[in-house]
Amino acid sequence: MSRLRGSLLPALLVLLTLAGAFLVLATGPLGVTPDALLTAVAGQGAPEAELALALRGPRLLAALTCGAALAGAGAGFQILFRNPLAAPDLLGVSSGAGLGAALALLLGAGAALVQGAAFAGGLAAGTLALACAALTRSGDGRLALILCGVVAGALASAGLGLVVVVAEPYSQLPSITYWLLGSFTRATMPEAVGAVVPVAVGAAALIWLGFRLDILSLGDEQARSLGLPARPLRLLALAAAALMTSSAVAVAGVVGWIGLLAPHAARLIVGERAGRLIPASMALGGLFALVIDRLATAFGPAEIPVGLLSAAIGAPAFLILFVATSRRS
Amino acid sequence: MSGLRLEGLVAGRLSRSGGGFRLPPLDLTIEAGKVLALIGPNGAGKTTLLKTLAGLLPPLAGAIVDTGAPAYLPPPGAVSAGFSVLHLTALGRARLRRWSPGLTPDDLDTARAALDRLEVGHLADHPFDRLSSGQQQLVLIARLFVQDAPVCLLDEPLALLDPAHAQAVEAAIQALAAEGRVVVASTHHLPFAARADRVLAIGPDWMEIGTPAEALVPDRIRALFGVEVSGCPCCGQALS
Amino acid sequence: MAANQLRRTSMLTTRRSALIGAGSAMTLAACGSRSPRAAGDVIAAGQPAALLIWAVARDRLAGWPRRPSTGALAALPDLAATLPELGALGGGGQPANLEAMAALRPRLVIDYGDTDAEDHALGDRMKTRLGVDWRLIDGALTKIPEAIREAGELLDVSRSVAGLADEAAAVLDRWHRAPAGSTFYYARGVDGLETGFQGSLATEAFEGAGWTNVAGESRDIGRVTREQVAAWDPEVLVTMSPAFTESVRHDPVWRTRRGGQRRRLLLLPDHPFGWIDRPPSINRLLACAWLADPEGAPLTIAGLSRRLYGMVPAEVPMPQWIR
Repeated sequence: MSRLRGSLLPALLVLLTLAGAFLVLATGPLGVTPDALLTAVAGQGAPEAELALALRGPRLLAALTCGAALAGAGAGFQILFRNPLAAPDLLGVSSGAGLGAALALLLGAGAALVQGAAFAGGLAAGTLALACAALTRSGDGRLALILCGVVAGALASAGLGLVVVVAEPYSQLPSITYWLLGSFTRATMPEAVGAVVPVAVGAAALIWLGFRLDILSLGDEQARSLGLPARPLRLLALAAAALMTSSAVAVAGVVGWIGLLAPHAARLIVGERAGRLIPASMALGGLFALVIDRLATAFGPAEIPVGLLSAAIGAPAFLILFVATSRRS
Repeated sequence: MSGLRLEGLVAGRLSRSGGGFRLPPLDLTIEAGKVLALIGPNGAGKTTLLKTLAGLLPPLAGAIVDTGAPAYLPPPGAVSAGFSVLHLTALGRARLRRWSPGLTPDDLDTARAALDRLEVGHLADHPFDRLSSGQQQLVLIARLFVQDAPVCLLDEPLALLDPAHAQAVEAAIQALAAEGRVVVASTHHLPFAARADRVLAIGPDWMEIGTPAEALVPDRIRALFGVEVSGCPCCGQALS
Repeated sequence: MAANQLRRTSMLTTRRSALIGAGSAMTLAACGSRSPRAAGDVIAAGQPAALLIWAVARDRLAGWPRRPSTGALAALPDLAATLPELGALGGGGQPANLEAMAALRPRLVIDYGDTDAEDHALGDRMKTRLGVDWRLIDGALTKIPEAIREAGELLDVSRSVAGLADEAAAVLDRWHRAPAGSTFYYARGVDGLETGFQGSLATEAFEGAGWTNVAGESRDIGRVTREQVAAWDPEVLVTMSPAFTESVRHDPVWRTRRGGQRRRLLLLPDHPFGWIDRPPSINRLLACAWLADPEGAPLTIAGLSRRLYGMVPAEVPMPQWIR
């Protein structure tokens, strides 16, 4: 039975993702019929269909990348820290990325530069947390990492508060606020592709780590006894997760709850092993992102920020999942 | 498998405030295929010595002559994992899979064989955390077989186990040694020590190594633990 | 995290006021020993009010709620740069801010903008706390001449503002009678995806001149997607952001209309203050003047700019159609 599930499940996830992708690509205010869209994909469509594809394509890519990245990073952290509440913002990366973007918007930078600043800010916060934790040398350092991550995140949030206070209220402040609340629609194709690369690198690292993450979750002593270089591998895992989270926030803003919810849902389906949990989480995270992306523009021309939607849907969903799983055990 | 040799090894812990402790220097050679039992009161330093032999703690002085990578097993209850027993056992092969992205079916087969050998093969698909202490301990020893380390260091492997599981674990430990490994196990269960090949007694400021017959006579035990015992302190079996 | 951001936004003014007020209080205390210049005695409750007071009697303005940018200050008379930044008084004053203001011994606070019951209540609260008379003037675009006259009365300069008020009335009259214009989309901010929907303050100047705002079905300011803008297919993109202009002038997604024609791009000046927005105050008269008569506008606009801001006519910026 589980062998059957093992081969059916990836196929099912791929199918669902394709269906979701089709939905995103085929619907929108520029009422373009699906067959017109197909000819546009082939490169010979009417200008309007080409335009629709040019606008919806990056949106699809940004949503999938952001959702998968956050879910993968969340799953990685949950395994490493043996903590079901571990979220991608554990090392303060989301807050750091938000600060980077806000600073760039304060200085009037263009969209690509804002994305770059957000990416850099996220990595800076993560590096700060890792460096501070490395100074403590306590045991396997998991508690130190969490504390340093909280500190880095708090510093970034404080910086963000300062930026908000100083920003010009009629134009800069709304820009910053909207950026932080999240949107999949503002990325152009080059920006979306730029986000895919770090996420792909990070995801490849996490998937390669696979069973090694399981060993790391047993603790440093066990890991070393089983012959693994625990510290370098843990650093690799954390760096990969930080890379993925930074990239996700840089392209779409702060979208919470995906990184917490998707791994929990994936765990119910594929179990605890990292080798299957990480890819399954990423697939579910991408699907979730597609759903909220569709909802963002489903209620009129004004776009609902996806950060709000992910919280409004993700939090109750997480509660339901949690109650369901605790009833089971 | 060439055995374990220690040259003037001083195990201990140094704390920054100047406390800590050090054990006396240890010169020791144990041939392959032998079981060494470590006995001593709580806090004597058995765990510290085991971890030093395992390479988890740095020695304060002296050397362990390189015998290959040791494997260390913490006391029962220290290992917790949510994934399946089979996966946990197969992780013993991690050292061989330096660069590959996953465990091979061969690894899984080896794991299954080890589990079957210890008669816990029927638990292969259960989550590890759902097993009893005895079953968990057997699984972890199966992992030691899979790991195939030349030196196996077990910290109180019989603690908290009922007699049936204790017997099974002891048989497994003997089997580990029989395949040519050096097994060092600390224990409070003196009958187990009586059946080992050598016994290392760690006292408050001395260490003695000898055969079980030499080490387990009543006045050596009195000197070690400070109490009079006629049978095993924890289960009352006769010592012989 | 999202909820935190919203809360921060609504607390913006008070926090900024606290910081600025504290700074100003210290600066004023430090400068106390030098002989004071004839300091202004009227406080503006917000930036729209500051512009009104500046136009009517600039020597009476005690300080800016928000300091104009360096580019803006360069275009204004020197007096502008010497005025301190006091922070705005909206949303509950902070003690530090109020102290700085009280230290200036104001005789009057003028607020210019919405006249809901809330704003009246705020005015009453502020009156009691500051002990200074508080006047709220209706900020509607169509009532600008009345607003100018009322401010003139309050500041005892009725005669000198009569001319400005008449000119404003004439501009608005021509503005009302402007022929129907194009369909437009107001691209706010650097990425242009924020807009004012139909009926918002930001787009009032254009809508009143017969232009049609394509952004409907919602209110005030909101975010939209590029696809939505493409679906609305406006004839003109209106923006005040040079950065936005630079990023989209060659972008076919923004510049090509559904039928294949080129979409026009209009860059409005935002020095010293934006022509339709930022802040929504009497500066909008300039847009009205231009919309009423784009060809003959330069002279009117130069004159208006001089009277509103004190600008030198040669430096008056004009809207640009971007190719």
